[in-house]
Amino acid sequence: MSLAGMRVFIVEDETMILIVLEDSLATMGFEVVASALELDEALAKAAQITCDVAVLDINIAGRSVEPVANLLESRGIPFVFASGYGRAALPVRHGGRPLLTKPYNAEALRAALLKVLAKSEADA
Amino acid sequence: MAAPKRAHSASVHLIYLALIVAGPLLLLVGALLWRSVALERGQLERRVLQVLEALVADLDRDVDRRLTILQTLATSPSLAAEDWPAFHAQAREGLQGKGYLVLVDAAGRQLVNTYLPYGAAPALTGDPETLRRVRETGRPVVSDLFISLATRQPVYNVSIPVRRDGTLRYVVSIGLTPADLHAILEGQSLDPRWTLTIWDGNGRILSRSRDQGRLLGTAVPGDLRASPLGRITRLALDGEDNFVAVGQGEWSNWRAAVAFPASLIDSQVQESLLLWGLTIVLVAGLVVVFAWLFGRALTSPLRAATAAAGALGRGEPFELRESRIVEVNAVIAALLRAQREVEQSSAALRRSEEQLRTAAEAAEFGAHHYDVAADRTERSPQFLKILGATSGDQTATFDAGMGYVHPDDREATRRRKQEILAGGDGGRYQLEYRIRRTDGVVRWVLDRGQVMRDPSSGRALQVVGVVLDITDLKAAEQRHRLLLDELNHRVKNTLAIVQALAQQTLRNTADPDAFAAAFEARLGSLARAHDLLTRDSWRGAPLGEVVSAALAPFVAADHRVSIAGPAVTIPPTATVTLSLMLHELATNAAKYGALAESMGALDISWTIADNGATVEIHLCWLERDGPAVVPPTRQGFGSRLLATGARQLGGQVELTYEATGLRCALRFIVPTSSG
Repeated sequence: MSLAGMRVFIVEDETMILIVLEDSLATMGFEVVASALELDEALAKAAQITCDVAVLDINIAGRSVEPVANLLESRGIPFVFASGYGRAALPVRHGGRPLLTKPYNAEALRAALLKVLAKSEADA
Repeated sequence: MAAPKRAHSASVHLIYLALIVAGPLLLLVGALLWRSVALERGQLERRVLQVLEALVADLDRDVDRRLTILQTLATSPSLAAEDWPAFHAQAREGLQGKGYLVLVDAAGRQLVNTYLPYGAAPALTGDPETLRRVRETGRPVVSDLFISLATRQPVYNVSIPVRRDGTLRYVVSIGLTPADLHAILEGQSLDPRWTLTIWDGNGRILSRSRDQGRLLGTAVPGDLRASPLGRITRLALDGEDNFVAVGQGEWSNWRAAVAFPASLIDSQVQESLLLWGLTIVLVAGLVVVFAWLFGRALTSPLRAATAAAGALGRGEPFELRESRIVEVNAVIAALLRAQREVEQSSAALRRSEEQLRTAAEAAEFGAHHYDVAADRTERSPQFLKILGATSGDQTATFDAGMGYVHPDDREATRRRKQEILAGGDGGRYQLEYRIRRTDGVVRWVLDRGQVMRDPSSGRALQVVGVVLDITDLKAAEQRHRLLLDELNHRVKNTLAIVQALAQQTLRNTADPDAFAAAFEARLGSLARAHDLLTRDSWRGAPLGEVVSAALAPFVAADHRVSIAGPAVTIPPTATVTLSLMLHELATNAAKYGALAESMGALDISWTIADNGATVEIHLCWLERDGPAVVPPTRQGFGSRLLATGARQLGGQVELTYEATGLRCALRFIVPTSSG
């Protein structure tokens, strides 16, 4: 499937990583519709934005991104997690979601996004 | 092993001993008493026989005397001359009133009777039996009792024959009254208890020491009359038992009886028996009393020693006094020795226990001991302290013990403990679980112990173990794990940032040398930020130092740089981002701005506004005296980093390209530092 024009929402509390992520996703053809660097902002945006997929850093300035994940899940928006922590850091409810372990490369990111998008499409 | 004999108290044994000793002595006393009674009786019997003998002898002597008188008279010339009046006178004179003389011829005619005046004698003899017996035997005869024709009273005769030429011519008799006999009885001089009786050949009483008047001439009792001669018999006379001996004189067929009351001997027997009985009772009483007293003297120190031994066994104190029994004193000495030894060893034990307890308290481990068969756990005071329980919970069942285990760990712990009890793995165990104290506080404990088994069956008998509160250890372990996780996270995060820096640097730099220089510079700023953070254990860094560190590589000696602002601490992630932002500003200043010229000036100043939980920082970056300012045509990496970084810091950035130099106003928020 083509990633061109897919709208993506990023939650990442680290400036440099966010910038690179935006660039990488743009290179892959995504349209970065929104990004959030802290949790309250992320929650506000997750409730409103229109997007096809999301990349969620698990630990946002010491707080869990789980509320955002729950919100996105309830809206039927697929997402992948990214974290410097291991799989144990995944919220239990979202234990089955793809996890990108930092530092990750662009290929891993693309594969994970493709996977959730394909699954989302299949479910739809 | 043989069944033990029945045990008795020492008193009983002493009673046995005394009875064994006293029994034969009592028998001996009895035998002696019996012998003395027998002797008494023998003496009495001999006395009866002696009295009888004397009486019979007196009777015989009396007859002898009469016979002598008769024989003297028989030789009288007046008799030979048949001068009866003369003979009458002579006889009367010769007798001197002791009886009277009767002379009869062979035909029984009375010739002389001195009881009467001469010539007044009855015609015939009143005692023809004597005449018959004299004629028959030819010897002197003592008659039975008969009624005299002359006196009209009961009398008896002592008679001799008078022969002439071998032919019986006369019989000469002395007539005597029973009163004459009675004198003989009285002559025995016996005390009134004696009864003497004389009876004739017809069994009629001639004389009696008592009741003479009443009984004279009456028949003597048949059994007395039938008694054998010269032997002691026992007969009832006058209504009482008597020892009786019967004898017969030489001259007559009379019999004499001597009687003495048996009651004397009987009472002696009774007295002896009574004495013996009293002796037995007294001896038995004394035996029992003294046996009891001695037994008590023996057993009371023994009882005291027994009680002391019991007290020793229970570990209680006791006191013992010396007794008067050597063997008991040996026991007491042994007990006192044992007491000293027990005291010494228990003092040593107490010391050792105290040391162990002190060690246990110092180590804060609680000991427990579980008796499997009794289902009973005993807990040490320290264990109770760990549980937050009172001394009332010093003992408990297995299930009650499980009640302290946190519900989340309870089933697993119970299962593990049951597996441990069931056995298999040596019996040594180590468990970690949570407990809920009585005050509701949840603590982690380490439970280590050893199961002790019956060597033959392998069945668990006891479990001994210690429990240690490892809550702090667990917390430290958790902190350690968290720290490791955090470190892992940071390293990975940092690597991700490095990766991002590399990618961005690469994206904006074509020339490898330029890439290397820019990348190294950016890594350098990242490293300095980390240095700052490490200095204060990653809690944050002072803003002034963050700024100084970011500028350091770019400031030359002839630059005019001022850094001014109140002290404020920037949190770790913000420090990294702020360092990168300041680095981009400084890089830009060094390339195109104030730091590119030798005399350029850079003023960095900030103010803070404390909002309680957060502090708002207004930082102003102002360049002066640099090259002419040319605003960029497109947004480069630097401005993008500033914008995004400001968002990360929860603030805003504003870049102004003034003629005098770049002005950057950064407003952001940090939490109020706790330090």
